[in-house]
This record gives sequence, C-alpha cells and structure tokens, in this order.
Amino acid sequence: MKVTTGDQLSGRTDLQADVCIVGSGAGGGVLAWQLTQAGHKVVMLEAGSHHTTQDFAPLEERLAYPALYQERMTRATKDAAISVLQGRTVGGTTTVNWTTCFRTPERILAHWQQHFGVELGDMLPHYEAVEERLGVAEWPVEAANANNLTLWRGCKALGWQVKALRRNVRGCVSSGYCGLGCAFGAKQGMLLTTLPDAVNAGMELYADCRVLKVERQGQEWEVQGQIQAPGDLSSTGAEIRVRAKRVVLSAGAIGSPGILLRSGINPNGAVGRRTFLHPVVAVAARYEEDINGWAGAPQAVGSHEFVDRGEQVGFFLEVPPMQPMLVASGVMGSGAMVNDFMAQLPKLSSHLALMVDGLHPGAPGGTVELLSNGRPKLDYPIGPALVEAMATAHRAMARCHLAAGAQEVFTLHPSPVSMTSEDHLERLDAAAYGALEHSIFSAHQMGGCGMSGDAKAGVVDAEHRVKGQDGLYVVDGSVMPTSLGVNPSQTIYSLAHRAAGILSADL
Amino acid sequence: MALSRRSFLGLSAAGTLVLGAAGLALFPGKRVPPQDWLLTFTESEYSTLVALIETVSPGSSGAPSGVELGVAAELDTLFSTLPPENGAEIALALGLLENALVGAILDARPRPFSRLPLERRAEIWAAWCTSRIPLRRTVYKGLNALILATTWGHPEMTALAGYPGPPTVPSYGSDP
Repeated sequence: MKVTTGDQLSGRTDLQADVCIVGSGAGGGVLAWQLTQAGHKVVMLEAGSHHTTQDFAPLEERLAYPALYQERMTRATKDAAISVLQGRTVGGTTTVNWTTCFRTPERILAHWQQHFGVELGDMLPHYEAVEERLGVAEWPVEAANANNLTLWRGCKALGWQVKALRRNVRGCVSSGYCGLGCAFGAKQGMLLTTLPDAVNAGMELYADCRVLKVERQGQEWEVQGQIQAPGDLSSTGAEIRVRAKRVVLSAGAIGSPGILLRSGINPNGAVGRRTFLHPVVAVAARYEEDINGWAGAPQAVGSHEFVDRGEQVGFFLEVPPMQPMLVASGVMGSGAMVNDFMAQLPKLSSHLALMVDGLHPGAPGGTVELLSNGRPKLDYPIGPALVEAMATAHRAMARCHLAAGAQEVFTLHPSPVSMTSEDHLERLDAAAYGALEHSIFSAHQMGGCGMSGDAKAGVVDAEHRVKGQDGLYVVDGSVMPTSLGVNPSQTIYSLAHRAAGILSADL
Repeated sequence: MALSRRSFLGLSAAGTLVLGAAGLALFPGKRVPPQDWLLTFTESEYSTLVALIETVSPGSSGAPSGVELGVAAELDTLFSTLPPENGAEIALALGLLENALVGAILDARPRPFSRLPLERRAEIWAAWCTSRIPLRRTVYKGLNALILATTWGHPEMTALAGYPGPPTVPSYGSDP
C-alpha cells in the first residue's frame, strides 16, 4: 500500500479531492473503501505514522505502546483518574484493538430514536457488508484462553448470561498480542483491508499529518495540517492543504471535537460534550492453575448479565490481555507490594467491568476542551451513579472469580481488598469507589459530536452532516449519542458504511 | 477547604515562583547527576524523579530497582517526544513533591523529598495517594502508573514475574 509519510514532504503541499477524510481508523477506513469503489477521488490524512505488519515484531510492550498509542500511551482524563487507550497509527485504533465485534444493540438504536430523534433505518446490510470484508466470526469457546475461561466458568456457575465473542480475524494464531499490532497479519483492521482497497482504487493516503483546522472557502472546504517526521509528534515545519468538495472528520471521539473547536465550529454549543468512555474497572484473582493470560485471543467471551440495570447504570463483563506492562500500569500501590503482586502474574486472571455511560442522567459523560496549545483534553467527572455501578461491578467480578475457583481475589485499590470466600465480599462495602480511588481505564471513546434529529441539539444530524456547515461531515465514534454497552468498533464500521451512501448521493 | 486541582493551577505564577524559589533556596534537595544529557527535566527535577522511582520501584529479592533499570532517563526521553506542556506538568508535580516549604506547611515535613530516607518517602508517597488535596491524588496516579509501567517494560523484571516474553514471529510477507 502506497503511503506518503512525513519525511517525504517539505514546504507546503497542496492537494485537491472530491472528499478529504481526516483519520484512517474504523470510520475513515470503511468510508474511504466505499467512496473509492464508487469512483470518488479521496485524500486521507492520518496524524499517526505508518507501521506495517513487519514493524510490529518483536511485540515488546515498551516499544509498541509509545509508538502506536495517543500521547505515547500517557493519554488520560484531566484529573488522571482514567487512562485512555487509543490508537495513533495508520488504521487508528483498529490496528491495536482486541478485535471484539458486536452489532449495535437494538435497545440502543431504540434509545437513540426515542431520546435523540435519530433514525438510522435498516442497518442489517451495513453489518453484513463489514462482517464479510473484515472476516467477523464467532471465536469458539474451545479456543478461549484460561483468562477468558475463568469468566466463562464463573458466569456459568452463577447462572449468568455469558457468550462467545465475535472477532475480526483471519488465520489468527492466538498470540494474545493484538494490542501491540498484529505481527501475524491476521487482524482484519483497516491496515490490511479497507485502506489497501481504497489506495488501490486511487486514494492518496498521507501519514504523519496532524490536522489543525478546517475552513470554508467559497464552495469548497480547506483542510489545514502540519507535517511531522515519522514517529515524531512535533511539526517539521512543512504544511499540507487539501481543498475538497466534502470534508469528513474521522479523527475519533477526542480528535474530531478538537478539530471542530480549533476551527471555531460548534453547533448548538454541543461539540466535545457528552463524550463517553465505557469507564472500565477491574478485579484480579490468583488461581491454582497457570493462567498465562498474556497468550491466547485477548477477548473470547463476555457477559451482558448486568448491562441493563433499569434506573441504575449498567455494565458488561469481559477480560483484558495480561502482558506485564499493561498489568503493572493498573496497579495503584507502590513499593515492594507491586513486586509481590507481579510475581503471581502467571496465575493471575483479571475481569473487566465496562460502565455503560450516557443512558442515564447521572452518567452524562465528559467534555473535550482545548488546552492553551490547541490540543484536546477530556474532563470526565465520575458522579454518584457511576460510583454505585463501579461498586456493584466490583462485587459482581469478585463473585465471578470465586465461583470460577479463584484462590484469592484482589481489587485494584491502593490497598487492595483481598477475598478468599463469599464471606469476605462484605469487605468491599468498606472500600471507596470512583475517581482516583482505584484504577480506571478506557479503551472505547464515543460521543462528543453527537447525532440528533433536533436541529437545536447535537452536532451532526442522522446523516452525519455537521449542522449549519454544508459539506462538512463527522463519521467516527464521536457521533454516537450515548455509549453502546458493547465494544464499539463494528458500530463505527457499519455507520461509516451507511455514511458512504449518504456522501455519494451528496457529491 | 480542600484545594482543587483547578484552583491550585490557578495560583498566580508569581506566587508559585516565590514559593518554589524559597523552598529550593532554604532547603536544597539531593542532587543525582544524570548519566547523560537531560532532554526534558532540570537536574533538580531529575533528582526528585530518581528519589521517587526508588520509592515506587525499590527492587526486592533479586529484582532490580527502577533506578538501576534507568527508568528516570527513559521518562526524561519519553517526555522530550511529547508536547512541552506534558513535560512541564510533570516538572511542576516533581517540584511540589520536592519542595520542603510546601512540605513543612502541609505535612510538617521541612525537608526536600529527595533528602528523606526511603521509608519516610514511601509514607509520604502513600499519603499522596489518599490525600484530601485532589491535585496530590492526580499527581500520584499519573506518576505512579508511569513509573510502574516503565519499570515493568524491562525484560529483567518481566522474567522475574514468570513471563516468558513475546512469541517468536515468523517472517511475514508484505502488507497488501
């Protein structure tokens, strides 16, 4: 795949296109694939660098995270309470995600229609098209690793709903290192699928281009960006300008609001507001048998037993990969206790609970703001409704581990709550929950440019058009009016597939 | 009244400078010369970072400490590749931790952090984790995670945890 990189550009580069897409992740990748198939001239600008499959070896965390993630894996909410994992590379987060795919839940689509006036129509053709192109298929429970099987066993023992997950892979060798980029060429992210399709059909793809702003100029839009050297975050001094009939922001739930705010575009004052994270809390446990949770498909099973808790914030259960650097970054304590904890790594299993934010008044999400240097920052308050859900989730995960046969269960508090039997669950009642009380992270960023059918609310309409800005669109996870209660990648792929038809008709 | 992060950062630059300068002039910290040129931090900030790394990742039963692994230099390099504001936030945090005048006022601890014995540093750092001052908890969360992640990215540490390392990757052809 031909990619123009930052070291190949100097001075000012001026380009012309039918459509300029900003961002090469789940939204931009699928959109580019479809628009080029329809014969449109597309230029794509990606802030991250171009890393090929060969570059992902030797799969060392300390090399991969700074190279492939936003802010070199140091991205966090304003108060540092939530670590934000988000890709920054060609292919966006689809290059480093854990491959779990879900269709958008019907109850979420109904909620969007009822509360936001968003009618998406029949999504089935869009689901099916991306599933076929990306090889989305169920990963059999028989192939799940021991880390996933503790969740499976615990849920089964407790009579909770639990299912095998679907993944976008072909020829997966179960290495477990999806989060570092797939060195085996198995993950069907944008890097190996829709982007090569689009480039082969004529798209020009530029990596190392950080878009600063977009500006209306007559009947066209101009996208203004600065060039970075590959692997670098600072400008080389070179610039890029793309003039296009249509501009699509696909820079993700933190990046797209940032570009709009820098451009002085803020329909209904809603840009950056209602940003959702599926805030994640974890509970670990030591088992008698070896778990070796660093190996095997990272996510193979999940439980939606608690996803709909009525008036209370719901959560769903999955597991993470257990490579040492990722595990250590989730430990809140310090000193010798960390070494003691990490010494148990081969026998540790961890369960995750992902909070479903945005569906309840008490979980309105966060706000993307601009820092004085123009870079976006997310402020995400954690109110009582989320605190209650996090407390409940801790108890659920502890019960699940114990039901699965754990020897000892630990929370990720600075002084971990330890439990070896159901009688000890009441120890959780004395613990504090919420921001900076225990580890919290996010791998799912949504909202910030929310869809709304009401002209006086939201940032985009149900056709992805930025309100009051003819020819400007947003196609990525930021358009979601709420979080999903499932991993969001396939919803973004499918929304982008649907959006391609809308854009083609508009051109 | 609890001092919020926002209100703390809103202190006038002059006030902050006076407090910092007074603290450093009256109670100079321990200096640890870096092995190489510093790219982000001053020598004073680097020395505080070394004292903190020794506190967070002290090494035990055969495990090297974060200082021995060179974590301070790695973080100095890391922040040199991020926007300067990111490094400046860390530098401000290290200054607060080190400052004996601030320590004396808030913690009855009239010595720079870097000059305290390891056990006392560990107590102070643990207290920052649960402090009533939100800014301290923010500093704790951010720096603690950075130091632990960097420490546990080293093969010397992961081998001690029974981690065999990543799998061998067979040669792979070209991407499409």
